[in-house]
Amino acid sequence: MYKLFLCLRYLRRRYLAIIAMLAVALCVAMVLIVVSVMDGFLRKVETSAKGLFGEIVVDASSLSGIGRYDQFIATLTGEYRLSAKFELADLSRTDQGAWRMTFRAKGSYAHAEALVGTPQPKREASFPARATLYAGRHRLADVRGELTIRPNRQLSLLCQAKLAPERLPKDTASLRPEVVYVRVGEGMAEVQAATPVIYSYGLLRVGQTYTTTVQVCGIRLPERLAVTDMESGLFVQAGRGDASFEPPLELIRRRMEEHLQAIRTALRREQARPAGRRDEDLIERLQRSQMRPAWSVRVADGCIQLRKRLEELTGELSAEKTKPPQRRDKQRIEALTKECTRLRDELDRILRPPDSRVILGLGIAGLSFRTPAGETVRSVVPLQDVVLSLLPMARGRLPTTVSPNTATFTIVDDASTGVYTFDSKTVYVPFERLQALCEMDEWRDADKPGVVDPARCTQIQIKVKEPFASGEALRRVRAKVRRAWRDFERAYGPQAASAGVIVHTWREKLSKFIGPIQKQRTLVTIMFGIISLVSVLLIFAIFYMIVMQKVRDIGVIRAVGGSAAGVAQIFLGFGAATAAVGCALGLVAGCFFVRYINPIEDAIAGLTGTRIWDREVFLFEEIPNQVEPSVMVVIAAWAIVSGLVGALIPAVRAATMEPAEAVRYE
Amino acid sequence: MNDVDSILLLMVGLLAIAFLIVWGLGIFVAVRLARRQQRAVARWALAAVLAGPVLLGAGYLAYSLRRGVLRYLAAQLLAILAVAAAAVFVLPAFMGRSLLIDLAVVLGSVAAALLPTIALGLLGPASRRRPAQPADRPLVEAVKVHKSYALGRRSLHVLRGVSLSVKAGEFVAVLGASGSGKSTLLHVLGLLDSPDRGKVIIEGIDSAALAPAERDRIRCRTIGFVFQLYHLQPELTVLENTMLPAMAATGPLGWARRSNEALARAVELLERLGLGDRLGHRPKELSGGEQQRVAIARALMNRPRILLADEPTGNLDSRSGGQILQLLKELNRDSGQTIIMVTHDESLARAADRIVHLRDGRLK
Repeated sequence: MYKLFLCLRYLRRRYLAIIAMLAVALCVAMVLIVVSVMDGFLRKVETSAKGLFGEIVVDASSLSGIGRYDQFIATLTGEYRLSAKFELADLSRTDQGAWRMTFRAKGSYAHAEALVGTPQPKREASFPARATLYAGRHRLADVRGELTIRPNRQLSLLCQAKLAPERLPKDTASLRPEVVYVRVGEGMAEVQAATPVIYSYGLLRVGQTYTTTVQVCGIRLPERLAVTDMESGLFVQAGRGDASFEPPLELIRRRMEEHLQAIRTALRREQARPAGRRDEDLIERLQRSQMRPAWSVRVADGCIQLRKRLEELTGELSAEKTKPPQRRDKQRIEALTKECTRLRDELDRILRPPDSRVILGLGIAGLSFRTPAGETVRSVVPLQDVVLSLLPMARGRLPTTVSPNTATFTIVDDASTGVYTFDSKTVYVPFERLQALCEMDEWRDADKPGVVDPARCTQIQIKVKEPFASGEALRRVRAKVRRAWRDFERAYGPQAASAGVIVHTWREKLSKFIGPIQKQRTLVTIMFGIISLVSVLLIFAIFYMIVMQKVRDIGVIRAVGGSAAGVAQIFLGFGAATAAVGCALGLVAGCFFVRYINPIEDAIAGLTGTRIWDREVFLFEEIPNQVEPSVMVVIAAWAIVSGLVGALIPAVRAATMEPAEAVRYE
Repeated sequence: MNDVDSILLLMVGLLAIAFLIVWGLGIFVAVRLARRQQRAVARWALAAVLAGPVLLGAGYLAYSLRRGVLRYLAAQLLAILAVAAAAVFVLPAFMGRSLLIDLAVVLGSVAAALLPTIALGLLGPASRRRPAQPADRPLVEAVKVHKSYALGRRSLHVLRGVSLSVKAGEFVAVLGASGSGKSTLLHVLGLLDSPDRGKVIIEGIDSAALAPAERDRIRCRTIGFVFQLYHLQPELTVLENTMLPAMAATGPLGWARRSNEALARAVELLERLGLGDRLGHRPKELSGGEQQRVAIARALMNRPRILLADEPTGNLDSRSGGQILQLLKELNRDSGQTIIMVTHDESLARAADRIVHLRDGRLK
């Protein structure tokens, strides 16, 4: 009992121990802050990186790419994306008031193989299917139906849509289903979604003078959103759930207006500073940047008006056309038609068709910048045009025979993944368009009829369902995908891929990128750990002093019957208790600091004018401020052990003291 | 089998059950982890859990070595450090998983490793019944005790064959000049020091045959010390200083039961010594005489059969010194307290029943 008792009394009344306590508290707080911030940083990088391309990536190591990707994806997800040109064959009204539509299309050998597993179907086969119904360029509805393939490989899609009659276009021939998904099997239980992607390189030209090299990424937007969390990083369409290359003009206009406001606020704030601390350069850049969004708003307004006018004219035109023949004004019809065509052309010139739209990566050098306060200011905005030039290097072409393909695109959005290296280099364009530009689309050899090289992509990105998305489970899914790919490759040979294909997890793919950050974290943790050994030394020194001060008291403890082990325990317990109290203080202080690290940093910046976390350099707006409980447990254990270790030698010294000498000690 | 042994047995039994529960839980968790395919983690957990019995065994091995002090200490330290280190190494393996499992496994293994230590600590020092002692045997006996100290390169032979025998109820004064070895003799008699040659026999038991823990026990229960410089613990109050020997005699479990009794005894002693209004004071707030009275109260706390006083009045003015001497005389007369007092002052020595002179390391 005396051990516990003396331990507690010493803790309360030995003021020297408070210094040791503070040292431990300081070390604990320091390590906690460093580890928490570094961990948080790493976690943020990992989350962002994971959002780049799902959990598993099937990567073509060569530019010649992966063929029959839709068929391979069907083995993973169970759904085959059918890319055929359907035409309306039959349209009728059901009793329930829905429209019943039958579409027909010419099927290919590849379709037949993907659907029924053989290029020569023996008999008719039907599958459930879903598709998006379009009228010309207007999206009407998502529909479900049934797809049938006949022995002659002809495809027919039967679907029903509940549509108000006035929404059905006059020209029913413009009705067509796009993005048709056919359910052909169960797929892998672990896979949630998958999408093909093309990565290529090209030149991006903005305006007359600005040119830079970029990585061009061809994506199917709705599919890609299901695989990665690209949408949260979009500027115009974030959080809408239906991001596409065709965002509503009104939305672009609204966002640009908000952006303009943000720039004006930043400008006002900067101008309000006292003259000496004003950043004139920044003010000038901000002033220049105001013009772009303002221009964009005007263009959007113009487009909206043009479109409204076009709708009116089309209405008038159709009204005119439906009049009885004797009352029709031919001249007027002609004039209206002419005007409509002109307006349509003008609209198309301003806002190019959906396959000629581009989403820029936010951070492409020179196209945007960040203010010291962390606002992103864009100097290139949606509705501007850019020109992309690409070298079609697929199908083993030699550089000498290649000439670049160039196309003009309209910017509709910008994307940030949070990973600077990607954002600063990537532009996103529609998948099929890039495929054509890179000449990776289906290709028939003119010399050898019947030989068809399938369309290709360079990467397949796979989203794995949550319970399988990490650790050992993910590696097992990867192995499964690998097996599936091997089988697929065996079945189709060079049609699948003419060079090696790698199946890896996102972590493996990014190991070169994440690895250094992880090493840095370990290094910093070890360094601070070593620095924190100082607390062990301090406890040692202080406890040695305490023991030497208390020699006679130790003699008395022995004289009243305390054992040598008891004396040692008193000091060990004292050490552990000192460390524990210090550790508790340190944890509280550390947690507090980490939790409020951003306001603290703001306050420091406000006082001194220097930012520690430079928002122009770092990827994230905020310093990570989460504390992991397991880190706290480890640090607490470590602190208490360090207290024990520090007190060990003094305690043994106290225990081995001869009691008679101790009592006599002056 | 005496009552202490049976309590010990009960305690060990309870602890064994507690240990088995903790251990079983640990294995359960390990198996669960293994089923969830976290084999690497499960291996760690199992290793940590299995380390428990090894450390438990080490603890009891140390106990069985008749509680040899330093060996026991070493085993204890080893156990604590091993488990703490294991916890530090095991934890990272659990990172990112359920914190509850982390805590269960780590605390479980720490508890398993600490059980023997906790068990021994809770029980407090072992106590044995005093062997029956014939009435005519001396209570304390020194037989041809030699003691020398190394003083630099020279060796100082302080005691050169001292023989002394003190019967129960005697008040003996050892008179000698300063540096004659009086204090050394007292320390040897009080088992604070061991003789180089010769025997010290207390209550018929040769101290040389005693294990360190046994010596601690005798110092605690049979002997009370009063020092010239009082030697009170500055961090403790008067009452706490007085109760210290009682605490040293029991573990926290026994203390819960006996603290009231000890408190009553301490208050009674202090009141008897005229310190009833000073219970909550710290030593530095007291005068020398008062401090020495606290020291006497502390020495008497465990009702020791022998009171050893080393120049108890040496640092006091004559009035306080006289009071202390009077106190010792009363103790001897009223309660038959055996007292051995060393002093260089002949007038003080005259208060004793018997005076022995220590000169040149020998008793005359």
